[in-house]
Order: sequence, then structure tokens, then C-alpha cells
Amino acid sequence: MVEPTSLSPFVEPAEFISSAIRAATSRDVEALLAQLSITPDEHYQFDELNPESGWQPGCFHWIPVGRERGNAGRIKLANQPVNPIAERTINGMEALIELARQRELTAAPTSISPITPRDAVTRYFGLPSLDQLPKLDDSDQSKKIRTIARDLARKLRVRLLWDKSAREFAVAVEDDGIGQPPAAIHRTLLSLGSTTKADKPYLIGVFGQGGSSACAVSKFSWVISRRAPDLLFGEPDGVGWTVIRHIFPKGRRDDYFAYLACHPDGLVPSVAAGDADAAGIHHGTRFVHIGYDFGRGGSAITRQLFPALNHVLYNPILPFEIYAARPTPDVIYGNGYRLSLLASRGTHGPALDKIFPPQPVGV
Amino acid sequence: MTTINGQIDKRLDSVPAEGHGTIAIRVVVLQKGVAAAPAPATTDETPVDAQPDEILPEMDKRPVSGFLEESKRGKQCCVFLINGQRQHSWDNQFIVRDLELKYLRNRMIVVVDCDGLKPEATAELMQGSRHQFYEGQVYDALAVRVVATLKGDPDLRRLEEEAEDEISSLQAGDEAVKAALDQLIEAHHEAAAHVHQGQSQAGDVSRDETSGGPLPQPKEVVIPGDSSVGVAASGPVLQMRPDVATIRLKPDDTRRLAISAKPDAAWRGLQHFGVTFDPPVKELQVARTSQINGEEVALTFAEPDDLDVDEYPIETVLRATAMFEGHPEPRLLERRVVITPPKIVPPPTPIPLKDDPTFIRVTSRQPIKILVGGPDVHVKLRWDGKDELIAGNPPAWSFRVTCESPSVEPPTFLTRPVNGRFELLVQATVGLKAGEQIKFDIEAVGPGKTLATAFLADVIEPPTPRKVSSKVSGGSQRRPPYDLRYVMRNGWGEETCWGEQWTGEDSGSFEEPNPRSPLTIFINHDMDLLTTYRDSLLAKKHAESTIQQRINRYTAHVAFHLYQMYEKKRQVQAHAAETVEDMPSEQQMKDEIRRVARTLVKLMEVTQ
Repeated sequence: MVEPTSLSPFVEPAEFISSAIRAATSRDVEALLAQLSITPDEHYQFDELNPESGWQPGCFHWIPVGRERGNAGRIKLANQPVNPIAERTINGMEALIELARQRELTAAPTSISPITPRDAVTRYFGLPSLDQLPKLDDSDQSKKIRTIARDLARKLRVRLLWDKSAREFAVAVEDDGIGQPPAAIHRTLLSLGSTTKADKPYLIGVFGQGGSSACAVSKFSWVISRRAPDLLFGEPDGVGWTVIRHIFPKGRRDDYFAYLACHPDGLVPSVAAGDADAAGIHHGTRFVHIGYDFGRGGSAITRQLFPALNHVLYNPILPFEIYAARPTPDVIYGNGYRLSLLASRGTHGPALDKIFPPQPVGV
Repeated sequence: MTTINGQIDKRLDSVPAEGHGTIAIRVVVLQKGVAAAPAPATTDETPVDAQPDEILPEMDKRPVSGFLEESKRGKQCCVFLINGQRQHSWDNQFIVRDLELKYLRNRMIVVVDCDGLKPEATAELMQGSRHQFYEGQVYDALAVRVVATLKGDPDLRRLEEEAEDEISSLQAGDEAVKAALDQLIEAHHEAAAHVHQGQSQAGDVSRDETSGGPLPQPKEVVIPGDSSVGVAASGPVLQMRPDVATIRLKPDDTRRLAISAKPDAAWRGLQHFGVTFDPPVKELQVARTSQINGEEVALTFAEPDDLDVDEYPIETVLRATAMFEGHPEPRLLERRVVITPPKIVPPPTPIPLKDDPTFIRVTSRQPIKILVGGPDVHVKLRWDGKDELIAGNPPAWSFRVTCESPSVEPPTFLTRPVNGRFELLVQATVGLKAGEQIKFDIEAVGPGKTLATAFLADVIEPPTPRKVSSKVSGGSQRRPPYDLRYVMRNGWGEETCWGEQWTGEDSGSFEEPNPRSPLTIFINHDMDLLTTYRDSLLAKKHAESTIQQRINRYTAHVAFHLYQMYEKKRQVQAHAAETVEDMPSEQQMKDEIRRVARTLVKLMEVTQ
């Protein structure tokens, strides 16, 4: 029986996790990894049927994301730099909805689930479709709805970070949603193709692959997650942390993506609740993708991210904040909202804004 | 109480369960020259990742640019959303080609919400790569529905007509320049191996030969055309001066046209001459005055006081027929007539909406026509009930639509009233037969009261090429027609400069021909360099005629270069499958004609 490898023999967990959550460059991540005893990837070949084979007790190992050696085909799905960020953001929205749903179930175990993501947003947050927000009048109720929307946006943040000396971008997507206990991270946030969402019509994704495409366009990615304390259901509280990187095995063509694990079954390294509290880590999940490849970029990524995300998430089910390499946020409600906002510009409003009724397709 | 501010917002009451599910469509047309709010606080700041000497790209000024993923690239102006996330997109060629709304292409955004599709339909569309939909059967049905909904939309047609109207009011190129341009084009074609004719290069003699129309009976007629149309015939044809593809009228303005024979002398053999309009427009006053070699036709649209602005634009076809002695076939000339509202339409007097409505009526211009296999027909309706009467669960009032059809009953959909106005969308479903007449009854049913209205819709054949049997005497016209327009500084706000507004640096542009308008060449008459050059000629006290001659020469050459650019683009388009990457972008063409104009002006400066 292999015991999970602990961080404490190598580092002071509270200090380590405090440094880990500030890592924004490849150099930062390499410095963190250098403090740990990690079996080189060429010395441990993950075997799905026998993951303990070759495992060196007391060391951390690189395990394929989704516990699937041939995962590159499922992760390399991004065709444009903005899409993985949007996918990660969608995951954050789902985490906020799931938090509300699980709290509802705790209070009323037989309550029927919402039937769509928008239905869930209406039920739990009282929000209409975001493109309707600008059309609300100035009544107190409307103001309250706008305030709710703005407050919700604060719970989901996209940060674009730029390191001048390394000339390296990092993209962070942080949510204050349900989070995952350390023991579940490898089965949820780091899974591929398996799903915990299939019977939840109020969630958006199904196979959990979209967000992982961000790993394919980054040098390193790291994730931390902590479950909401009232939804641990007997699991120990704490924070799970890991790093994801692209591995090119020597002499082989089957590159893959792997994360740092502390046990052959895929568990990620973790710190106790007290250390997490000391580091100021609350419930939710944070993914940071370092050395993010924005393609030709070179200019105006900071300008383009706002319109690009507004376009990809045209009428998102929840708003979110974006910190585009500056300390103050902008809120993204989507282009549907922005188009509706035009009507409030008086004579410069749209010449036409027309919504057709649902049209049957293929009858 | 929370209310929604007034905008056009149409929703359906009931949704059928068959097929792949439902989609909801939103279409937004932006005002000309109005850009979206920029990304907050980012446009004025240098990007953090920019190199010290890096030249940052200009921001695109097209109205829709602020709503695209990235301006100048990815013209994703039609997006398909699932759970609010863009999963597929089309560029504005969909607006130009499928909807035939060329002048709205840089101002129009279409949002298709696919959340109502059935899970299996969504599963068929979605790919693991998340890179666009799979273009299979579901996608095809989706595309058909989007086009059918938007293609016949009266509001979009009105905006397109208004845009066309503004362009048609630009100053036309003068005769001297046109003559020079003709000469250049003729010389160009001396060496050309092949010349395309017809609709693709519509113009004064060739624009109508395949556009068709609802002739009451198939009959051989003689129209002016080229060798690609019909068979050879003899005798005169009808011609119109000024020869315009579309006759545009404003209420209470009079438009005079001269219709004559070609050759002029043939008018002496006229036996019968008639002018009709299809469909008839009762407010259109036609005054005909006989002249020696033809007839002057003066058209005036006398707007009645009770005309509903919803009826605009009013379209009809002027059809002039003539019989000439010794020629058994009638001579035919057809022109589209479009009556649009005056520039500033006074807001309609709001009808007081009531808790207890008293009427419901059809406000669309009748007769209503359903084109077999065509887009949805939008029938405008109005009632004087408050909008909220049909809200609620259950609503206090509801609408009921029934139809009596000799064959199939077309599916219908009612939009939700906004300020008492709403629409009935009638699908041109498969199985309708041309010649059928369908009666639609619409009832508003409320507490102890029913209001009713009805209308008849005629099912008509789609336009087909008419059989013709003659061509213009003297042979075909090799020079493809064009329309030359001057843009003055006060017209720089028009978005005819490669889809953008004009600046002092722009020299010219072109708009490709379509079935309703020929190749249109725009020349910026007030381009900065040209203005400076003109001023320098004035300062040197050159004769007025000399100045005019030089400006004409410049204009003709710039126009000719634009013509050649159009020809090149057309050639590339013809082989688009293999050489799509060779297609010059509008930005590249804009830069090219700027360079050409600069060269010409510099050349004229040093050689004078």
C-alpha cells in the first residue's frame, strides 16, 4: 500500500501554498517544483492498469491528465487563443451554479433540479438573460437585479498577467464556487471524458474537456481548489494543488499532458485547512495558465481580450470580471448585453433591434 | 414594477414539438457611423506587451467592429449560441449573398440562440473540437430557417432601401469622365479574350434579362438584351431616359421619365402603348404626356393622410408595353419602382392602448404574396390592446390564427405585440401551389369578447427567366455597364468606402453589381491630395477648361483602375475554391487605389 507523498518533508506547507498561489511565470513554477522531490518523467511510465508499478514512495510523480496516456488528442482542442479562456470561464460559472444547487439540496433534498443553465440562474440568482439587463427600467427592483449581476461578476474573475522581464503572459481564472476537496480534484478538475455532470441539466459542459484545452497553449498550468465548508459531506477540508505540464517523452511521438500527483491513484498534493486559512484561501477554484500562447499577439492582447471574450461568450449565463493587465476590473456581460445597451444611447441607438419568436427547425 | 423599455422584441406563444427543436433569432442593425463603446479604458492605453517601437494597428471604424471578436479580422457578424456561448459563426457574405442586403453588411448583427434545439440535434451540431458546427442535416435545416426568417423581413428591407436611396442620391459622374472611362474600358477589352455579360454585370442594357417577374401569361416579348438572351428578333425596342435600374420615389415628389423607341424613328409606327404597375398602387398618380418621339411619364406618390408608415417601402414594377406596326411581338420595358418614406418620418401618432381593446387589423400592404419556396412572409398587424394583456399565465387575451387553404396549411407564428404592433410570420411551406389563394383569420380572444381580422394571400411562382426573342439592333454591348458616383466631403459619412466612412486619404472604391444595381464606382472628389492639386492649378491661374480636363483625366484613370480591380476580384471569385487566399481584402484594395491616386496626382504635378 503506497502512502500519499506529503509536502511537509520538503517544505513548510503554509509558506509553500502562499508562494504557490502567487506563481505567475515559468520561473516561479520551476522554483516551486525545485523544492520538491519529483521522479523524472522518464523514470516513471504511468500504467493505467498498474499505476503503482515504478512508483517511488516519498516522491511526487507526473501522471497523465485524465489518467490517460494518449490525452493530447483530447486536450489540444483550441483553435484560437481566446477559446480555452472562455471554456475555463464557463467552468467557473458552473461552479457558482453548483454551489447554489448543492446548498438548495442540503436544505431541501427532494427539490427538483433546474432544467437549463438559464433556469438555474433565474432560480438561484434572480437574473434574467443578461442581454435583457439594459432593457430594465429604473425601478428599485431593476436596480436590485443589476446590483446582483454586478456582485455575481465579482465571484468569477479572469486575470491577464504580463511579466515584463520574462515577456510571458499568464491567464488566471478564479471562481468563488463550490470548489473541490483535495481528494476529488483528480476525478473532477483533472478528468477527461468522464463526467459528473451528465444528470445535471442545469450545467453547461458535459465531458470536462473544454477547459483543459488551456493547458495545451501554456507552458505550465497550476490549479488550487477548496470545497465550500458547508458542502464537504464528510470529506476533510483542505486545499489541493498541482501543476500541469506538457511532456514529450524522449524518442517517442506520443506527447501528453501530466500533472503532479502524490499517489498512484492520482491524488494531488494538498495542505490542511489551517494552512489554507493562513494563506487566505477560501472556497472555489483557481486555474492559472502560464506562458500562455497568444499566437501572433505581440501587440494589443490586452486590448483584444475584452472584445474577444465578449464575442465568444456572447450572452453568457453569468457575468464575470476581467483584469486585462491592470489593477481595476471591467465586467463582461457579453455582446448581447452591449447591443441592448446601445438603445440607451438615445438617437445613436440601433436602427433596428428585433427579436424573432422561437422558430421550429426542420419541420 | 419591472418593465422592459420599448424595443422591437418578438416572442412566440406556442412552439411545435416536431423537428429539431427551435431557435430564436435576434437581428440588430446599427446606425451608420456609430461605433460601439470601446473596451473600457483600453483603447487609449498602450498595450503592456507592445514593443517600444511597435506600430499599433488602427482600430476599425465600421459600426459592427466593436461587436466582432477582433476588428478587421473574423467578421463573425452572425453568431450561433448555445448557452450563450458562440459555437458557430458566419461572416457578412451571408448578409450580402443570402439576404441580399448589401448595404447593411457592415451594420448588421444576427444572433441565433440555439438553446431550444433538442439535445440530439445539439449533439449532432457540436464537435469535440468546439470549432464550428458540424455541417450536416441539422445545420442545413438551421441555415434554411435563419435565411427564411430574415430574407423577407420588412424592417430589414426598409433599411436596405434607405441605404440604397442615399447612395443613389450621390452626384453622378459627368459625361466627359464617363466618355473617357468608356474609351479606356473599350481599349482594355480589345485585348480581352472573354467578356462576361448579364446579371453579373448588370447595367443599362443587360440588367433585367434574367430577373423575371410575374407576367400574367407567358408570351414572347422583345426586350433589349445581349446575344446571351433569347433568340434574334428585329424591330425597335423600348428605352427609358434616364435609364435607371430602380425608380425611387418619395411621397409627393414627382419623377419624370421619358420612354421612347430605339431607334427613335420607330415611334412613328406605334400602334399601342401602355403603362401598368404590378401590383397596382392606388396612390401612385401617373401623368402621361405624348411627345414627338415617345412619351413622358410623370410618377407621383400622393401619400394619403391615413397611410401607415408600416406600409413603406412600397414596391411595384413599372411595365411599359408597346406594339409597333409590322412587328407582332409586344415590346416590353420593366423597371422596379420603390417608394420610401421621406427622410424624416414623423413618429406615428400613438394609438392609445386600452385594457378593453376595440380592434385588430392588418397593416401590411395588400395583396399579400407567398412565394413558393421563398422566405417567410411577414404580415404586420396592429391592435389597440395593452401589450401586457397577452402576458401573464394564463394571459387575459390570446391570439388565434386559422387559415383556409386548398392544399397545405402554412405554419404561422405570431410575435408578441410591442406598442400594439406585431407580426404574423407565414412560412412558405412545401406543398403550396402557385395560383392558390389562402384566407387567414386572426382573432384576439378576451374576456367575453372576440376581435377579428382577415386577409387573403396569393401563392405565386418564384421569378423565372422570361422568354425573349430579340436583342438590340447593332449587336451586343461589350462594355459592361457601370454607375459612376462622386463622393463629396459632405457625403463622407456614407459607408461606401469599402464598407467604411470616407476620409481625406481615400480616393475611390467600388460596389459589386447585383440584380438591382450595376457595378458602382465611387470617386472621392474631395480627396486631400486632389483638392490640393486643384488648388495649385487655380493658384497658377490655369483656365477653367484646363483644370476640368486634368481632373477628368485623373478621375477617369482612377475609375478605370477600380474597374480593373473589380474584374480581377471577379476572376478570383470564379476560382474561389482553389484560390480563396488570393482574394484581395477590402483593406488591400483600399490601399491599392490610394497608391494609384497618389501616383496619378504626383505624375500630373511633375508633367504639367
